[in-house]
Amino acid sequence: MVVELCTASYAYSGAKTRQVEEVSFRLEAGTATALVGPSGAGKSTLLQGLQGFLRPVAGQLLLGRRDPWRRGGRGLFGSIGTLLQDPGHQLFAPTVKLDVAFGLRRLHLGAAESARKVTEALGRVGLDPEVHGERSPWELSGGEKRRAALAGLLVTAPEVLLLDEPTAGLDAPSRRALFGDLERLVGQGTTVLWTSHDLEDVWSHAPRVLVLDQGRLVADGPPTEVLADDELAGRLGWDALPVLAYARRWGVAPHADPEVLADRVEEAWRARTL
Amino acid sequence: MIRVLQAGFAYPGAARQALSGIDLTVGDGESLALLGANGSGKSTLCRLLNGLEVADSGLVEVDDLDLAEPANRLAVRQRLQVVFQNPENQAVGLTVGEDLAFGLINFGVPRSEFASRIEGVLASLRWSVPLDRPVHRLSGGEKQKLALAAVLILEPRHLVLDEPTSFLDPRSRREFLASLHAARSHRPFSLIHITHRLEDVLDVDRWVVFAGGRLVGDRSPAEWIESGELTQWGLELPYGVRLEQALLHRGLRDALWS
Amino acid sequence: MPAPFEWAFTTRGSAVEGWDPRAKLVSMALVMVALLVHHNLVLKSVQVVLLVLVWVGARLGWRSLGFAVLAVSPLLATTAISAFLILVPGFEPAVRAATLDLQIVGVVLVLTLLVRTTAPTALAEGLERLLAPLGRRGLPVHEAVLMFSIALRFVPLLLEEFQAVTRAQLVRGGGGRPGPWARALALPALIVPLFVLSIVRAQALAEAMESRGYRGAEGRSPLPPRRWSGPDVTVLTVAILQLLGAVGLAFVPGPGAR
Repeated sequence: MVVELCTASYAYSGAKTRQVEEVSFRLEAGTATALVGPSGAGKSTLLQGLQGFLRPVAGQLLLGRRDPWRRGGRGLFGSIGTLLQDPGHQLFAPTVKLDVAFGLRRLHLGAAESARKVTEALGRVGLDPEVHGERSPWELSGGEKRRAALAGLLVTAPEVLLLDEPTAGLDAPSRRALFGDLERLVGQGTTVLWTSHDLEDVWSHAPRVLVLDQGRLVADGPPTEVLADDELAGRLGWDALPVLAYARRWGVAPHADPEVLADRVEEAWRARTL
Repeated sequence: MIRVLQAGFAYPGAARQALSGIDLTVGDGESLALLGANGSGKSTLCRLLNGLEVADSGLVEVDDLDLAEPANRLAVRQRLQVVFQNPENQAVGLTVGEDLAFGLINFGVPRSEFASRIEGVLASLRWSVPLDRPVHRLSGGEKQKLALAAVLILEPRHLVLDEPTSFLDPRSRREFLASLHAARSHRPFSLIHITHRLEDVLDVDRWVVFAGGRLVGDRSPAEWIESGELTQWGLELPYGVRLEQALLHRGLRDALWS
Repeated sequence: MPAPFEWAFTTRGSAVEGWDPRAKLVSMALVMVALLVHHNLVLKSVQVVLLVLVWVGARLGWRSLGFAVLAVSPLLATTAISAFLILVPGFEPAVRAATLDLQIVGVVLVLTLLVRTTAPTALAEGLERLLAPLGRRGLPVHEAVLMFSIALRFVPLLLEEFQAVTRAQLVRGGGGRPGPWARALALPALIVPLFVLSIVRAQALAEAMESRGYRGAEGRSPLPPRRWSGPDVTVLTVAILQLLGAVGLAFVPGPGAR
């Protein structure tokens, strides 16, 4: 589903200022985008707007080219799934399987059909239904909890997936697994948007980056452009990404894999010393 | 000095040992990082060191105090303090001042000393914050700085940090680490920093790696980096370090100094 | 963001804040009893006027006084109406209604005054001192008071988390079909995460406290001695006089008595 904001602004009811100011962007189906910005820039507010908890005070939100706030459009929000930063806020059932099945209540499926979907969803996030399915959600590790919460969302086959700081607190293997999951989902046509503070992750895994600062969208493009913008980095207080600093030092194109970058440096260096 | 000899521990009802055969010595003033994937046992060792859990086998000693003796627990806590992972779940007081005083009250420090100790610890962290600020108005990074101040005010000789920055955004993380360094240069204490972010601990004396409850290596960071063995334990070096290694392997040492 | 405790206590530099919290607690209790024990309209009016004077002295402002009364206006209205319904309309029921309503306003004012002019910490300390004799007989006074302050500290956080959990579950289809049954069945989805989070938090906090040397009331720095001063004695005396007057009038019929 295409998600589009047209000069949309959001504010909390009773607030004097708007948290999100005239933001426009369009997310195509089957794409992954990262949303970055300092704390307080409006990322959470924007996510809440996309989920349907806030109505735009100006501009428009379009889901699948329809306005969900017009008559009969509220159901559109049902196609959006959100993974919260703290899976503890979402997990509640006695077993993982029951928790994953929670999202199916609305669909009123038969028991067999439900079970099938639950098993499928667990499989998609790399959790074994036999091993993890019958355990209590709180027995799982941090990374596993996130995946269980993700399975609970996937089971309703959302067309849009929003993730709030999905890598916070995860170690390297768990992070790799998560991005693997996201890549697979994107391949299946899901529109994915995730917020992050980790610019290295964004550099390595986001084909497109949206930057929010004080409620406004200040950049929209591939990480090679957006994260390499020194002026922007200075304004937002970002550390220069090591990959960029090194690439610049040797005058070569940056790359997420240090081996590839080393090859490029080798080439440039040998060319220089000839 | 902290001495751990062949320590083993399993959580009640767990299928496997959380720790087995751990040998570790930390001299006064040394700094270590405890590294390893989630579930490798690093946090468990932290809990053994401050008496929240007692080892099933082996010896755990802090400054010659055996932690197997319940009577020693309080004395150990006078010498060894911990900052935990979640900034939300450590502050007890309603305001900054109250929380800083909490530990002092627990140890029966005379109230006449409170003002100077509070002022002293905030100065050592280079943090100026009004004492009547309510804790719930602090940002996550500030809460974690408060947690650090609240344990350093007890003037411990050893400090253990259990993944202190994993919930913090980059700016807060930098601030926290800066406060930590400021405090350590003000009054040296031995430091055990548990983390999976290697970039936070590039400057410690030793990296001690855990896997599956066992200690699989105890070397200096430089030795670990050269050995190239970290990835097998689920650890990833920061980009810059990996790049430098890649260049060295290609014989481009000169390029590094350009 | 909701933060009801924001209006609870603010420093305004009024004399009322300086009164000893013990005096305030005891006086409050006495005045409440004094309000409720008699039915004399004149005395109730005097009591309420006294409270309004204290309110003004505490610099809380006419607007917030209006809000406090407005907050209970439904209760005031229904009380008055039921007073009229029980008796035939006339002079007596009107007096009765006014008496009851003044009583309600009085109670609200006393409670609000106490909470808005006393820092939660001071209240907790006052309680602890007042109940200290019970503590010496082995009752867990200190622990109870500490629990109360910690609970206060976490209320804003709990409110935020409740919002977050509600949103999370709504987005998962927790809303489901509208209707009382569906809502009831979805309730666990809202309550359980909060419970679990609170329990996990309580455990983490307890460990942090233990780690910082907390072991109940034992070994804590004693509370600094606090003397009763002039204003405290005055407040207490006025409260006692009110109570005596009220009790006396309770046995003397007069306007408004039944």
